[in-house]
Amino acid sequence: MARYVIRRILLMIPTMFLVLTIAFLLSKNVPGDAASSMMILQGISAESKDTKKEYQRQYKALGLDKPLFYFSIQPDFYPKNINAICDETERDQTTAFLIQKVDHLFIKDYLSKREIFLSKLAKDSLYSHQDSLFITPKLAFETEITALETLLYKIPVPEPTESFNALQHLKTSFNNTKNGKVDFYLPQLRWYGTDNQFHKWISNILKGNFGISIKDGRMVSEKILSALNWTLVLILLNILVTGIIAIPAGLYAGYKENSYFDMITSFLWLLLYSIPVFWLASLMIVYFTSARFGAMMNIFPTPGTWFVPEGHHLLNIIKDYAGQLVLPVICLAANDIAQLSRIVRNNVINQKSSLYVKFALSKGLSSFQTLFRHILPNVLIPLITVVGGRIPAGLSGALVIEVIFNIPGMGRLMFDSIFSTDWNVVFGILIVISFFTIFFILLTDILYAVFSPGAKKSLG
Amino acid sequence: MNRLIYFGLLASLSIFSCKADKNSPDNTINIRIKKDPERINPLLFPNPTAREIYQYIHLPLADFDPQSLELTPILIKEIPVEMSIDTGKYKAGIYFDITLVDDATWENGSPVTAEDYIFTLKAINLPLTNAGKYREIVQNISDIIPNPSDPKKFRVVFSQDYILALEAAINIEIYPRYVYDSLNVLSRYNFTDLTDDNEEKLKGDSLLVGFADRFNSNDFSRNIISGSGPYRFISWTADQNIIIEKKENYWGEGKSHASIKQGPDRMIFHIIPDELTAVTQLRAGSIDVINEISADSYNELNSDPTTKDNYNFYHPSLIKHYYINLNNQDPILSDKGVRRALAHLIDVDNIIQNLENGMGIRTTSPVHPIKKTSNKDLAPLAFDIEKAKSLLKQSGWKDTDSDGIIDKNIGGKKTNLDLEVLISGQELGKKLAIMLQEGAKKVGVNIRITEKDFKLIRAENLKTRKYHLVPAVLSQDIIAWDDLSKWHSENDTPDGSNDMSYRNPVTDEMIDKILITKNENERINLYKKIQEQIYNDQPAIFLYAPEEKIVVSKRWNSTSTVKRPGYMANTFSNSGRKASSNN
Repeated sequence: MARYVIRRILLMIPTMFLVLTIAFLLSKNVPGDAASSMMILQGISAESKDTKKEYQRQYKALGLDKPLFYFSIQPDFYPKNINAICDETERDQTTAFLIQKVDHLFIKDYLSKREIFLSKLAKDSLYSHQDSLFITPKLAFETEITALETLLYKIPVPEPTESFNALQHLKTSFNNTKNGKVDFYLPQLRWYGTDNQFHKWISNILKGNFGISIKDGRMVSEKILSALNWTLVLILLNILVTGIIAIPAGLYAGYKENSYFDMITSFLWLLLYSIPVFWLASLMIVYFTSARFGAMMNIFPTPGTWFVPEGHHLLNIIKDYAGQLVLPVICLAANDIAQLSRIVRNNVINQKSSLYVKFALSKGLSSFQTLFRHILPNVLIPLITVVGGRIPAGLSGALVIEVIFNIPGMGRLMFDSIFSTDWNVVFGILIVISFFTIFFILLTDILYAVFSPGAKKSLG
Repeated sequence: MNRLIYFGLLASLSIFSCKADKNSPDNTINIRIKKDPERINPLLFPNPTAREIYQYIHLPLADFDPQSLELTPILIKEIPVEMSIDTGKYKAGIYFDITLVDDATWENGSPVTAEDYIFTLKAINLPLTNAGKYREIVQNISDIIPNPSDPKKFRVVFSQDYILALEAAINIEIYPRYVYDSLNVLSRYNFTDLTDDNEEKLKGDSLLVGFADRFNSNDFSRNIISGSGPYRFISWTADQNIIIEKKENYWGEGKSHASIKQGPDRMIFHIIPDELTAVTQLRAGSIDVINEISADSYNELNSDPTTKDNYNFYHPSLIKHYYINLNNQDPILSDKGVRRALAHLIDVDNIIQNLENGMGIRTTSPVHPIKKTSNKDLAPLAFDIEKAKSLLKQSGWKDTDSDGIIDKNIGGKKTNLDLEVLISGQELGKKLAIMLQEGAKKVGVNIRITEKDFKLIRAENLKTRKYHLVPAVLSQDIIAWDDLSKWHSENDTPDGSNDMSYRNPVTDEMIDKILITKNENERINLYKKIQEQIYNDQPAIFLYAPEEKIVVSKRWNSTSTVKRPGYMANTFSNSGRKASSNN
């Protein structure tokens, strides 16, 4: 058993590393980066003359100019580190040319010649020339080689002007770019050493430092702990309520199979299971928290205004705000009760026909005694897996419930962080959830092995 | 057994459910804000949610009066007069002599002086701080000279005259030096040394790096928030609430300016993202003020007999308007006739009536209709299918292949009038696109609707000009003169703001001229002419300016304002009514 546990714990390390590596690499492929998010937070708009400069300042300060990983395997005509291009547009356009198999050296030359040409045009005030009014500026956006070819030869620039000369250089550079398209290339392995984004990030994580949130500058661990407190409150209450209702109801329904109780609860659970949570939550708030539909309906306190200082113990949250937590817990539990109750019911029905039950009954035990002493322990064993899976799943938060009932838990934190590309927080949450998931799977397996004679035997 | 369990459950439910809404003390106002403001530091993070709070803590030297839209003094005795410089280093430049009011003080009772002003502007100018937004404005200030004999007086010098000079000099929140730079680091440097040109050198100065790190840190955005405003910061529990409290013996007591008035003893800003929850809280009496609510909720509260008498309902016009970005560089949309025809295909009045319950004003140009620079002579383009048909016909579009979609030969290729609207999932964008699609179908124009994340739209479409139509919103603070650089061809670059690729040399020339025109009437005329030109060119489809929807409990004597967020809670007073509760 001990060997099994140690083996499972050791397996956790590569699993988590893999999860984090994949998530890190995926995060680098979403549009926008932390530097852009920082600009938005600082209120720097596109109208600002300093947008480019401020972006580059933030980009470097956040270490985004470093290679992503320890190594890369890329075509040999790619630059060594494309992240070193701090200008966002230049980086995007270089990528667009690279996809068309143009060598990065030609791209660099073409983009610089294009910059010179556009600046000369502005200097010569040639934008006022009616024909070039729409054709020329397209150059700044176009990266399709076929479209560029047509475009470049349409540009009417009078001779002799600085713009004309610049255009000739640009055409030459473009022809080089076009002819420099690679037909054959080899993948190249590039080694960057430890000066890369992933290394810096994972080193900090190993030191227990998840970094700071770019959104509000708070420590990520502080934000997660605060949200975790709320989510744990919800999970614990949910499991408690679900267990108290679903297990007895399932037991009785299974024991009295096809009775009125069984039929009514089956219908009720099906109904609860099919109602979307957001709708149930909205209905409950509208109907049960105000006197709009009669004083009798005004049962629960209005949820959503909390005064819980950060770092407050979760038991204090339950103590101070039990009333406000009733509705969210009911909404969360509604689905789980339906699910768990059905599992218990079906297990009871299966166990009822077992030989040991028949034997117990023939020994003279009453039906209730048989149910609680013999059937119940066997029915509860599969529930370990269900509950063990529910806890880590609940940790990622019940987003809808948290938004509607204004609970600052993990789901809301994750949602907000993803949409503001606050990756430090997203990774922090991911680590916590991965850890808990793996931990609870392990715990479930161990408990299962302890309580289930069959499994215990197979583990030796 | 089961009966016992269910009895226990019912008992615990009834104990839990005892209504326990804690009513706030009488002179505390409870305000709902939509999201956590993240950081309260107006110089570094001037976001609209944070403004709802910092407007009561931080004050600028002068601010725009919500009624007259003119700059009015707050921390200064009077609005300074612009003076020309005829000789010396700053020849052809201008300066302002500024005198601070005598009694203005910080939280610790020390006076607001020129030292604080100079510190604030140095902190902005230092390229190591995150004050990028203001740095661009302050860059035009060449020097600040304190008056050696009077700590309340100083001179702000601009080496060049420009239209926003006065605004740049006096419309920035001023920080107390003793709080934000307790070690007095910046006093060792001249204002003129802390510029972008010296960035590399400044990066090597450990004193400055240390100052910038502290100034940018979380501490000065979440824990230490201090200014000369009528309220002081008390606490902030992330994602729950922020509490500010009235200052005792406040220097502004008895003064008339709205920004320095003191109203409720305490303001609690509750962070409630979901509208339904917020409205329920309002009905329960736990919230006194709610803004940015949907027209439906606003109308429901206003028509419900149980609530309408307990609340005041406001719908001020904030400086915000909706329009549809058109890609003027696209072969189809580069035709003015097509752009105008599309504008005739959207029933904007119907949208205002149905989506905003009539609370919105039609717009015809990029200037908000409440501005004095707005050109009121431009008639909104009416929803007119026949007119659209005739405009398209004039532009040569007809259905040659009888497939129900009109077409035209462009560049030797038969092109169908088939356009894509990119929307980001916002409800208004969706409805707009559907209405346009329905209208367009009647004239043989095919509209496709694609929904994707706005970040993707910006990166893949707007920046690369690979799009046809994108609904957008333009939101501004109260400013005297609108920035029209978005409509200048100079900004038609991948990183520029002119993402419609609108180019007109006549418009460009007028926009340039505005920056050097000092005479107010001439400037207003220029604004009106630019709007006329843009109206004729129709580079975008201008829709309407929505009105803000605000509900305030009658527990408070309240008013609304055109200044964001549409009300100033510090001007409210307790009406003596009990909290209205539907519970």
